[in-house]
Amino acid sequence: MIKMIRKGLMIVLVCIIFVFPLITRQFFLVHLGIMIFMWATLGIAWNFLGGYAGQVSLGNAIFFGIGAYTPTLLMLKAEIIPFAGLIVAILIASGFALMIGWPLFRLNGHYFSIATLCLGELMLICFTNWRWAGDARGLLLPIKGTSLLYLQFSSKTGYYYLCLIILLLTLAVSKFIIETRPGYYFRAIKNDPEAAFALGINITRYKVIAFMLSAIFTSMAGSFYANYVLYIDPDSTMLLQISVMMALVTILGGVGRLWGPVLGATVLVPISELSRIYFSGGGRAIDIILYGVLIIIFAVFKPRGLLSLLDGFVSKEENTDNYSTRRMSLIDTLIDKFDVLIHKRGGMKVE
Amino acid sequence: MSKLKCEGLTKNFGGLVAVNNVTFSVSEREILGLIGPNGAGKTTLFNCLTGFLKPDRGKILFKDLDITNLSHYKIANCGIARTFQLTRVFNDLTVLENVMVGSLLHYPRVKEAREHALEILEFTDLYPKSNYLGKSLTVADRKRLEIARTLATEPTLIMLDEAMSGLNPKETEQAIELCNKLNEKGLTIILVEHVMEVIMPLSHRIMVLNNGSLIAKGKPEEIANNPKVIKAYLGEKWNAKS
Repeated sequence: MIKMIRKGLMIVLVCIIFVFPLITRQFFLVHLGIMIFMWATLGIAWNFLGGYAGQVSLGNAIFFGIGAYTPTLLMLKAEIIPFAGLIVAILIASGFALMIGWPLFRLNGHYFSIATLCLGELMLICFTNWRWAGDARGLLLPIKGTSLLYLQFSSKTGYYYLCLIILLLTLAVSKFIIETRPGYYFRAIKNDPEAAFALGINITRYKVIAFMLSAIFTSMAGSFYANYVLYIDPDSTMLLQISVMMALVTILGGVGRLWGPVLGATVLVPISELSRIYFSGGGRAIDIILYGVLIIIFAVFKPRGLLSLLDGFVSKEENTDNYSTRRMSLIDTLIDKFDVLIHKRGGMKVE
Repeated sequence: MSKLKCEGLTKNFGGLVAVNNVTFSVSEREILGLIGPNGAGKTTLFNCLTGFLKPDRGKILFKDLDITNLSHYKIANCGIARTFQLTRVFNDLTVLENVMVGSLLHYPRVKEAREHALEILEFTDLYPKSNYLGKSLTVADRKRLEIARTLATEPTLIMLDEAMSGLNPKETEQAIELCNKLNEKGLTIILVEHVMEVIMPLSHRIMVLNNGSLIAKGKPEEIANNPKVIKAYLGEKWNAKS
């Protein structure tokens, strides 16, 4: 019965996602959808390294920037179509990840995070001062009308489907990776690098692989972003906040889980966009404060992410004999909370 | 023919000589016990043999292959596996997945690795606990899982670092049984142990390390009666008993 409901809900949800931009006339909602897809993609990309392999990167905006700048510069300086530029961007980003990965992975834990953070900042400074690449003024992309080769569409609907395709591709690759050897190795490395090493795993190589996967999909989303907004500058593509947001989307949804970033983005992006609309302005930064409060709440009450709330409802296989590790379902949790509440009330009455 | 040969191995930590000019060899299908007081350099010797530490001097030969300066993951590929003194189980992975990580070394396809891992679990009697998470296991099961996981990499030489400390008598008995089973399968075993009741009946040969140097080598009964060993490690009582 629950299975049926679950299936039905899934089908309805998928249908809504696919026809959504065709039935709504609210451009803002379509924009919201696009942003959710993009951040979900970025979160999944971050998850390769930060979630599965346990190496928290705070410099992934580097790859977002490379993804945004490469096709734009190629288009402006050499008249190369963005679709080809996208492929070049992926190559450069993954090459860059390979190059900085070998030395960076000599560092562990926090030190790795700090190093990536520094690299991100360095990149930002470089691009802000690089005259040829438009320095702080940024770059404007020429408008070419609807064309898949130019990755441009005259309406948001086209971008919506393009981003959906990128997201689905990222999800598919992510699913494939975690179910094959690299996925097992990533999780082993996250749990205990030395034990993984002892089992014959070349841990640096697998960390670099995770880093490159991360770079590939981040740069893809970066290219998409550039062609969606049609204007890029260092502050909108390489800021530390972008790196942090990638991590946040994943942490909020569920670290090291396939659907975690998707759920995280679905919750976080609307909050961020709406709070920006209603609370920002006047430099009061209430939207960012709101954001911070939310993160603290989740860190305290649901350290394993939003996805852990849905576990009992979504997970397919229930390990019935595995009593010691069985996770509480949403309903169990609710009943538990309710129980506590009633007992508290009852206790008060007695007093 | 000797399986592993170690010549003049020396490792210094600053001014401290942790392992001093140790020479020994293990032959095919032998169980070699390594004993010594705390701080004698047993674990350091292990770490040198498995590539976790680079020895300052000396040579390690595995069959005819010089593995002295190889990184550990390469040594594991040659067929040497080790366990850790403090168990290092992958906590967030299930028992099956833990073993699969080992199996994937020689079975890159997940499906084959799973089948292989299940065989190993059957062999080590962990099969009923396949779906438990690593962190939910007892000490005895964690130690057993570590052995299972190293077995999954299909080694021919296995080094157990105190695989039986902290176990109750019944669990120890089961662990000894497992060691004998592995030996019958054709594995060469080097084990570090403090529990004399384990090492005396199990080992074919025993080496005694004290302050980094090898002070005695020989059959268990010879070791038990060696005055140097009694003075350094065993104490008079053990001598009286045997």
